[in-house]
Amino acid sequence: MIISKQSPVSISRRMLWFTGVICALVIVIGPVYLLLKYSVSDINSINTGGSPVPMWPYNPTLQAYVYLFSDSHFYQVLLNSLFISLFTIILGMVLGIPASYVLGRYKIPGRKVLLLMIISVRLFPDIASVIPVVEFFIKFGMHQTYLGVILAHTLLALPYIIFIGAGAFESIPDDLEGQAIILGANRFQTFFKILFPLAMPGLAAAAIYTFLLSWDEFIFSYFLMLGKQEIYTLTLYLNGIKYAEPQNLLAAISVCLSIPVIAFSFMVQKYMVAGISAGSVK
Amino acid sequence: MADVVIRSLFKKYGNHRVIENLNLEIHDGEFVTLLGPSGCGKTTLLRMIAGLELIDSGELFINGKLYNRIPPQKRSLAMVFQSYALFPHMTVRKNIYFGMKIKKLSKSEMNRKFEWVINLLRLKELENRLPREISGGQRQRVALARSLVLDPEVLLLDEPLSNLDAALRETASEELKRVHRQLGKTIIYVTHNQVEAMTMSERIALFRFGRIEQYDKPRVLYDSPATVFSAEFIGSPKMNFYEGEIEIRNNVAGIKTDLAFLKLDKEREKTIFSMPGRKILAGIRPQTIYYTGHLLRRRYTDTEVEILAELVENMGDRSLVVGRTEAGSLIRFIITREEKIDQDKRMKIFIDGRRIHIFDPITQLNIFR
Amino acid sequence: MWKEFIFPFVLAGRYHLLGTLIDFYYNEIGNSHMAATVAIVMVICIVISTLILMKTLELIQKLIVSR
Repeated sequence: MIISKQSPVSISRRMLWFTGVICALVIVIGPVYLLLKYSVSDINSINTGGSPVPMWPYNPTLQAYVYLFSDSHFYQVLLNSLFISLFTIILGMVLGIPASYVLGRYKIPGRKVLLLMIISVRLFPDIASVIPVVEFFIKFGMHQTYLGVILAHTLLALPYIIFIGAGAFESIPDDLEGQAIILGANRFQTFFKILFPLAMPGLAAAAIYTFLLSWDEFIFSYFLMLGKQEIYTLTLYLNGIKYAEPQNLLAAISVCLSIPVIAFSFMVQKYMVAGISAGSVK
Repeated sequence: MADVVIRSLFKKYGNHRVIENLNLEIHDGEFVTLLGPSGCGKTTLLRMIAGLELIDSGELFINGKLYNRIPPQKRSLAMVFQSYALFPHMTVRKNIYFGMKIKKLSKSEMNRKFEWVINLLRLKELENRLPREISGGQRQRVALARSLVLDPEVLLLDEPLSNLDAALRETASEELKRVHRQLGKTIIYVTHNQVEAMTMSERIALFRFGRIEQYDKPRVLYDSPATVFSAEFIGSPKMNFYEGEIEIRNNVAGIKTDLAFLKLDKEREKTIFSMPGRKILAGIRPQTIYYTGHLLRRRYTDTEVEILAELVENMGDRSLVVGRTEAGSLIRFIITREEKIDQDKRMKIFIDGRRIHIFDPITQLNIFR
Repeated sequence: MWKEFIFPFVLAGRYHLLGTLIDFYYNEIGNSHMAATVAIVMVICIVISTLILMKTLELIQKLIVSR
């Protein structure tokens, strides 16, 4: 791995840099690796596997995963998370797309201020804003309901949806709209046939981001659903059993939690890049 | 049947008056160009005709119908943008069908029109391609096709050739003329390129700061410019201008300038005889200056000037020569490739007096119009 | 850093940081008023520390540039 060319930078300097990089990698990848390792470990090896932090699984097995996928409770929780995430996307898009369309293509007075305010909502730390939101929701009888959680997640996602969506709509050249109008299209037709399809890549990215946000969400879900186990999301489920269950099971659940995140993140990246380069209309 | 009549049109953005008291009449089937430098309001006028910009005051009539309040969707016009504005997510076929679908034409009619326009503009093989897969010239034809398929009363074109390279521009402009001849539609064309305007239009409306400077056939604009601006804008290379005043020498009236004592043709000489001392701006087109290499007969209305050829610019089939008199005045003229002029050559040139344009320096108007 | 909740919550539930303190007050004691107060304190801390950090960075930048 060491570059064989002699370069002006001294060898010792480079060794130092190299070591630093390795350390950083270990710190970042370490937990992930351990997670994977534990998830495929035999239930006994966790306690008896020789050295305190064994590098390699003692007895690699998928028994943790098998157990999970035959547990109906786990499925219920998985479905809960999926259900909530999906509906968050739907609600978020329904509310966010019209807003971002207007903010992205019309010069209304105070537009910049509005956008700034919307995005600054997310500057507040989650736990700080949880209390008032939850109090409010409880007053409306949404404590421990699917609706409450979906609404809360939508709240969190909406600023991003609007911001990304506005950017997507803004990037569409005005000429296209003008041309559609001259060809006889009214505002609805212009939106549905021209603007919306062209904003799709950006909106898709926003949708995926919303999914990840909701799927990952812990704090709001925790404060809103505590007590009612049947509607727990995956994150809450994990939290509830963190002291009880054996580590390999926990690790397996964590991996299940993480896979959609990683997969979708990759997808979004590809889409975003493609969207940028195809954006040049001429 | 579509003539366009514009009366007292006004438009402003904030305090900036873009169009001022504009009057224009375009006959049915005519090819008219709105020509002018950037920012003179020609594109704004086009957009107002299309309905994309509101008319502040004044009237727009198309075919006798008042169009001011009619929304752009309902106007039977078509417009081709400078960027072509092809819908990037639709194939060529879908792009062309777009307007027809909105109009809810029958399937058979749509197909029929589609086939017709595809053949007219030679787009047969490109039907299923996306805009990003075809060349600039092809995109321009698709944009045209998309507009023509709706059988508009008036076709509006906003600098459709400016994104093409020179060779393509020629073929594209020929094609446009062919389409105009074949279909006989009223065409309003916007450009800042005077060569385009001169070759393609039946009449040119020369714009300047939101007003029409002159509205005439290309030939008239060239031979008989109404104002200094018209004379300067039309014609390439640019016209030579000299300040001077009317003087009578040896019982002959002419224009005294730093360049020379300019002689005119007999008729005009008679007219200016009665205006000695009047201040004048004289304009001489480079093409109306001859050099003894020319085999043309010299007329007594020619003014002879001795110059030193300072610069010779080879432009292919002709060359532009910049000459300087002893007194220091510059003059530009054209020579053909058969003539050879070396730099720093002393020579005599002859200015055709019949083709000198005389303007009043204050009103900027052509005195003889 | 001030606003971390998940890691302190899972790893060290007994030692309260600002974030976990909010949870403690709200969920375990049911005193929403205290919880809200802690939240406000947290926001103020964040704002102040951000300002201090920014000022410090500016200072450092000035020192480096002036050399």
